[in-house]
Amino acid sequence: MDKTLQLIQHLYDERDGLDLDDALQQEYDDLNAVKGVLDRREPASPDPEVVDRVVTAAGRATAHGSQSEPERRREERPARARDTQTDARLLRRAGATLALVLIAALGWWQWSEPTSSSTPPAVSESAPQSFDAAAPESESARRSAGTVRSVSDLPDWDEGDDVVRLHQRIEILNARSTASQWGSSALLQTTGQQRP
Amino acid sequence: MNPSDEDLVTAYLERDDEQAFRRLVERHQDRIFGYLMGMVKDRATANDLFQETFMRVINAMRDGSYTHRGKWLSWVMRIARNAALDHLRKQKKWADVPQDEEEGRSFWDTLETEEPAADEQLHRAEQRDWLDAHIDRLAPEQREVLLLRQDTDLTFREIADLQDVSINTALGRMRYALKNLRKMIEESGKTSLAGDVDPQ
Repeated sequence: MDKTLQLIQHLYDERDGLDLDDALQQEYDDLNAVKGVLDRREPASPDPEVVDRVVTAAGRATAHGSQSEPERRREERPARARDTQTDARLLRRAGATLALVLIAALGWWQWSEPTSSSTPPAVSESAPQSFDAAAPESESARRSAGTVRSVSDLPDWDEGDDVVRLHQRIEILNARSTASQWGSSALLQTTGQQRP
Repeated sequence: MNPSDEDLVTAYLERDDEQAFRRLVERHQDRIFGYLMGMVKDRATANDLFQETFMRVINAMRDGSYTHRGKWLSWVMRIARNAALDHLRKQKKWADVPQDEEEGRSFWDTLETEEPAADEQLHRAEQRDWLDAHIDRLAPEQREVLLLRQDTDLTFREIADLQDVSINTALGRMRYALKNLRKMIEESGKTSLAGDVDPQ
């Protein structure tokens, strides 16, 4: 090893008995002067609260010795990081809930759309005839038939497909419920006539 | 009788002795914190890194990762160094930036005098800041060896292991650190450093 390097070890008491010539002795004195300045440098200490927190964490680690490593890490994470993670978790949950609601709404819309668009025209065309022919004596059936018939009498400005379909659907449901209330004879005859 | 580091480690691990761990921390806190302060140059950050270091130390000790029997401080210093380097890399501050120097002030003016005790602490803190400003101007690898040897009292062999370099490299860095520091102090002050270090 180079003598100048051995000199550094000698300076820090890691090597004894080093023979120094004049040049090395001069370098030793120069470096020792700097070391003396560094040795007098005031030590820096951490804040007492930080030391207390560390010791508390050490105590908690012994109390929770049975905890798994991820659990311990979660517990010892700084409060700031924990808040951020909680916020992120809440946001994720809210997002997932919103997505579920949207999917459910979309599914309901998809399911209800074909039913409302296909059923009414078939029934609406046959319903007025069947009610007229099969149950002339039923007041409620007559009233329903009259109402259904009135769909075709809707004014021009109110003939939007959706509105008409919705209206027809309501009237059909109304007729069905009325028929079953009175023994469902009208409806039974109606469905019988609808068969090919 | 003063228990060794290993006695305290054993007391903490085997008997859950929290006070033993406190003694370990208090025994070495200045060394570890001094190194961190020298590396990051900010007290609040050094406090954060000190806490982070010990959180890692506690976890590693509890899960049995501490296997460096007899070398607890050098093991902790490795963790502290990793924490400091992680921080500096995140901040992209591993490259050194020269600090502003105070104008017209001799180094010898900052050394201890017979001032009243009430001012002594502040005076010493100023001295440290002044000297740290010079240390900060050293090349990073030289500064780190100097901080590790001066503040943490690790041997050059331990420092070489920590930095994953040969002992000759560690010694060479220390030599240049001392020589450069001497040069900086001489250039900044009116008094020559040659000869006696006593400022009086």
